[in-house]
Amino acid sequence: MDLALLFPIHLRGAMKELSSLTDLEEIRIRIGQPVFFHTRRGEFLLMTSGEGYVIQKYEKEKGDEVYRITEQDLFEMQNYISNYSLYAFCEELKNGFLTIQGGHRIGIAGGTVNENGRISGISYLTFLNIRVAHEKKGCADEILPKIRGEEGEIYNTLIISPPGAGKTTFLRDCIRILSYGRDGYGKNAYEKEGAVGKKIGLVDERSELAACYHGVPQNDIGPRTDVLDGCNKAEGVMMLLRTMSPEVIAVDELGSEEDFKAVEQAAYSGCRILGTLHAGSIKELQEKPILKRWCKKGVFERFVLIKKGENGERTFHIYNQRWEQLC
Amino acid sequence: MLKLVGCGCILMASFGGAYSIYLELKQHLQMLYELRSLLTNIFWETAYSMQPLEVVLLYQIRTKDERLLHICKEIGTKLLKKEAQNGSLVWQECFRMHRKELGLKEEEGELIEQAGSAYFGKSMEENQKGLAFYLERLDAFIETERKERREKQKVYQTVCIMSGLVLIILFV
Repeated sequence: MDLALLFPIHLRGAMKELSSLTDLEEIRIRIGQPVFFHTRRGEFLLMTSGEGYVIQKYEKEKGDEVYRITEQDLFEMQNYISNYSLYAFCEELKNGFLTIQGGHRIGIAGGTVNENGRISGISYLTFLNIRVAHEKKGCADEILPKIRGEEGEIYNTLIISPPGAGKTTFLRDCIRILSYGRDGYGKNAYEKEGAVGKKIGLVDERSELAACYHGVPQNDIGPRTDVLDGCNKAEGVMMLLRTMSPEVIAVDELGSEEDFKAVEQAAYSGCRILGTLHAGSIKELQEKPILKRWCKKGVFERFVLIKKGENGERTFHIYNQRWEQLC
Repeated sequence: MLKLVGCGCILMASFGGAYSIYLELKQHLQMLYELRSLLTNIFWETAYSMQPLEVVLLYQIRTKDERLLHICKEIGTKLLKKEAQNGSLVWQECFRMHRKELGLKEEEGELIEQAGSAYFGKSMEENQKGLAFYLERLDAFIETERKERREKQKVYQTVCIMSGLVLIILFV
């Protein structure tokens, strides 16, 4: 989907410049505040220029005025984001985000409606965070050989990193590569040993991996991947196990005891597990009380720690179940 | 002989006129039923599939009336383009453009144009409440139309045939 179509009609002219912001990561919209475009080169803002609008870096001395988002603008955006059908996104709104065509995710905040102490909806959408979807195909090329056994089997692996370092991106790419196999789905795929892709079951609770829009993955997750979108992880793992006979189950952001219980059961049922977890370092990971128990049991055989450098480059270290660094 | 043929033609025309009035009244009522069914179908389709209205209108809605189907597709396509600030405005505009084609009276047309707002609420509950209000009003129109139809039919048909006969008398 063209991101410009999410903006009010009078701003769409300026939004054509979005295509030139190739490193755009986020667009932040707040009522009464400027529109921020976050890129790797820094922040850009929407400015008034003559009778129109432009996206550029803020320079105080230039005298351009920053455009501030109005209530009407947000109302319009709300209509475009939801395809004029907010009712269709009730469940997503409760979770605070929705995925649109193209795999872009829109985080929302504003006034909440509470029922029995739980958020049951959003009454005013006054803050939006449009996270631009980026697939980094091939980023997991180096990792995969290190989480494969001698016979080509996949080790139960946990990808760990602090938020924003890219563990979801790495997991998505692992899924894609494993699903395609070495030779995709061409003729040769069935002739060469190990070339055939694996059947993957993906539990995508927050629609970050496959970015399903109306049930259709917007990201390339391979031809042999089945997705349970918006489903609770523990339930999803068990459901996939019972119904889709996956060879590998992939889950993002494991955290609760129920998640690990489900993962353990899947691992003991012959499935391989690929998961992610928030942690800044191996030490931090070792200190997580829930994980201690599961690590003792040896459910996970490899830990991939991803770190983000100052220039945005990613490095990774791989550990085995005895916490020995392999590379 | 010519007079006889002329009289026959006038008689046939007056019967034809009476029949076309009968058909017109029948089709009008049929259209109101069809619209009612369309409004409820759209609601249940959205409630069942939880898809945005554009998807429902473009791909899921079925109606016997080709004109209504065409309007639905037109609304769906316009919604898809995201060129209007408000979805109910798109609905309103499309039905206004086709009001004559549908043979609706002014107040019926207005009701259908406004009924679109019942699909753009924040939740299904809100939509349901909105739709109930419009359906109630539409039912009232249908009821009135049903009652008036027979009377109108009788009056118009009698007038047609009588005027035909009067013409024949004058002609002869």
